[in-house]
Amino acid sequence: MKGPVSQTSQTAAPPTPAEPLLSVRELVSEFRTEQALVRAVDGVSFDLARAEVLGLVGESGSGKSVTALSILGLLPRPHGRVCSGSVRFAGRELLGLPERELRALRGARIAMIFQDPMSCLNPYLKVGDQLAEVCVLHLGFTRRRAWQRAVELLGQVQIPDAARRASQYPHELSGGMRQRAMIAMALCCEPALLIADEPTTALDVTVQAQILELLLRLRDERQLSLLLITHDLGVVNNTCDRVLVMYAGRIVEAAPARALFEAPHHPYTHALLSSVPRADLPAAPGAASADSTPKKRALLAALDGLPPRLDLGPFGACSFAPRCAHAIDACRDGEPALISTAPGRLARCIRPPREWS
Amino acid sequence: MSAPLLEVEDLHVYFDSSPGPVRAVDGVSLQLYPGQTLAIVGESGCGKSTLARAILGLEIPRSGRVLFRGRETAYDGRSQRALWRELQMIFQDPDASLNPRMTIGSTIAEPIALLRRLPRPQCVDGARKLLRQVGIDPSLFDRYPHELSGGQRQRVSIARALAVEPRALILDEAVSALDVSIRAQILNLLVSLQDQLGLAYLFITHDLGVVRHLAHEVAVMYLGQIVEQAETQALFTAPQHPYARALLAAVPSLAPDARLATSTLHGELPSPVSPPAGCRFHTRCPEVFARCRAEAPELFTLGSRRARCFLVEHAPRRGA
Repeated sequence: MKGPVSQTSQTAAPPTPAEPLLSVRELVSEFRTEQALVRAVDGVSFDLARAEVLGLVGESGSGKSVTALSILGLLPRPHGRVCSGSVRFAGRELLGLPERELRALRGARIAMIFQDPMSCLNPYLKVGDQLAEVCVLHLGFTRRRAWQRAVELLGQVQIPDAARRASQYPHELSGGMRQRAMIAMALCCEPALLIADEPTTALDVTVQAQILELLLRLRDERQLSLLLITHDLGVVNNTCDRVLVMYAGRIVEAAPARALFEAPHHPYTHALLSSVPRADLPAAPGAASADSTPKKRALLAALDGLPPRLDLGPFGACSFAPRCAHAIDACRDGEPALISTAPGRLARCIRPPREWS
Repeated sequence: MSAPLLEVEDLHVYFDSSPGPVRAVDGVSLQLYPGQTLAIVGESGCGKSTLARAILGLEIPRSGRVLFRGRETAYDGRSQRALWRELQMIFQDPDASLNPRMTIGSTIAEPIALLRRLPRPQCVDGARKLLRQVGIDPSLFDRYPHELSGGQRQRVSIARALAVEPRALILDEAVSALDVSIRAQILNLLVSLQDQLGLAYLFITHDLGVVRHLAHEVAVMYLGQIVEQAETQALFTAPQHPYARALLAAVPSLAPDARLATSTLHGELPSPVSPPAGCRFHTRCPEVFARCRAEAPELFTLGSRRARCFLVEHAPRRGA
């Protein structure tokens, strides 16, 4: 079943009256493996406004990358497919669009960058030629004009000495510079939406800070909307306006970033935040200290167990209940809905936050 | 404090390359004490992993010495085996270090048999005990690595390292590939094991949150050299070297009011083939002055900490 579904369900909509740039409703995507059918994304709905930075966080297998690939129509075929739901981009339904039309949108209006720049840069082509090719294909530029544009774009992503770098091959660039080159390529056609899947995960922290700064500047200057997929809660906190937390294929919490980091409304988000060792706070009392070396040292509030195996679902219960410190019998009786917990905030939990936080 | 378990003295490790030698480790000295965790932090290419490999005898240094319990490491098979009996290593990717065709039980029993030379039944008993100790149900003894999760596989690598009852572990990005919730489980395991067994850890990582949680002492490396070394709290509350300050400032914070730290460092990491003259950090240092370009600072001692910067040579400690 493809096509739009009714919008009666609760969605993680921002409090803006304007039409969102991207509107995802009840998205369901599945993978067929030899043994089972895995529902990797299970009823995901959210809106992304113009010039908004939306974070999609979760651990491996939570469905965050599959959500992005489903939006772009890039699920690996024939094993993966979008089963149902709706993805509207600038008022236009993307699901069910012919591949030719999708391809014209991808790269032009919607661009995507990945963790590993070498996955999208051709090692045999000069960086400038790769950018120029996009300008020739999508914008109909002449080779000469396209090369000028390539150098210009490399300068805009703050690659020093852009004219010389354009004539180099990807291996001659550092990791941070390759990431910038990939961003430059994504920006060739001035897209309205940039989907960034773990764009800084492979980078060192000082380079990460530079790349994130660049992405935020592009948002400010070009009103670019950014869907930032990451497992790094610190990155989300420092860059995003709003956050969606995914667990086992579903959104379990949606909130403005600041509110989420002040007081999470879902026990999973809470557990995730408490299990991160902090560089900005002293370790808890009793933690490592060279002069006193106490017998008992502080431990992190680690979550026990593992996320559920999606091939064994549906669970007919809260999928986080087996690991949740606050689960009650009712949590195992049915799947909780994503409900409003405060203005602009949603959580998929039957227990109000004040009962457990 | 007791005698150091591990001492590294002015270690230099160079790799041959066509434009000239890559000076991966260029004059590093450090000590690791029993029951303590020393973290080595720094960005890609700073030489932290090469340092670890040289300590294990997997790279032959150009000059300098590595001493374990006072014995100097020689680079032949026999003395390496003697060293590995007491010093074990855990890597980032358990998939690359576990044999996919061996059950996890025999993976752990094998080093007991080889290095402790015990009869088979005792090795199997020992392996079961170790599995329990790292939080894996011994009933999984006959499972293969691919049947376990990533976190469980890293527990198996830890159990295998512990099989020879070492005094120290070198952990090279041992929790970096794990998800947040699994990483917390493994970090807790490492803390408990250190408390129970009195192990020393040389913990190599780029994750400064993990460092602050786990380490007693931290050494920050840049282009093959230690630029600052201090007790953990002292480093995090008042870093002395401009590079250490930039590194700490760049870590995204979880504090609700935190904003992105902008412009902590500009420019690119210079090549370790031809590191900048003078202070190696001067090309990117926000506090550079004329002397930094001409003269290389030594690692100045300030109380219990060391920093390689002219600004700390005579100055009182900043913010301390």
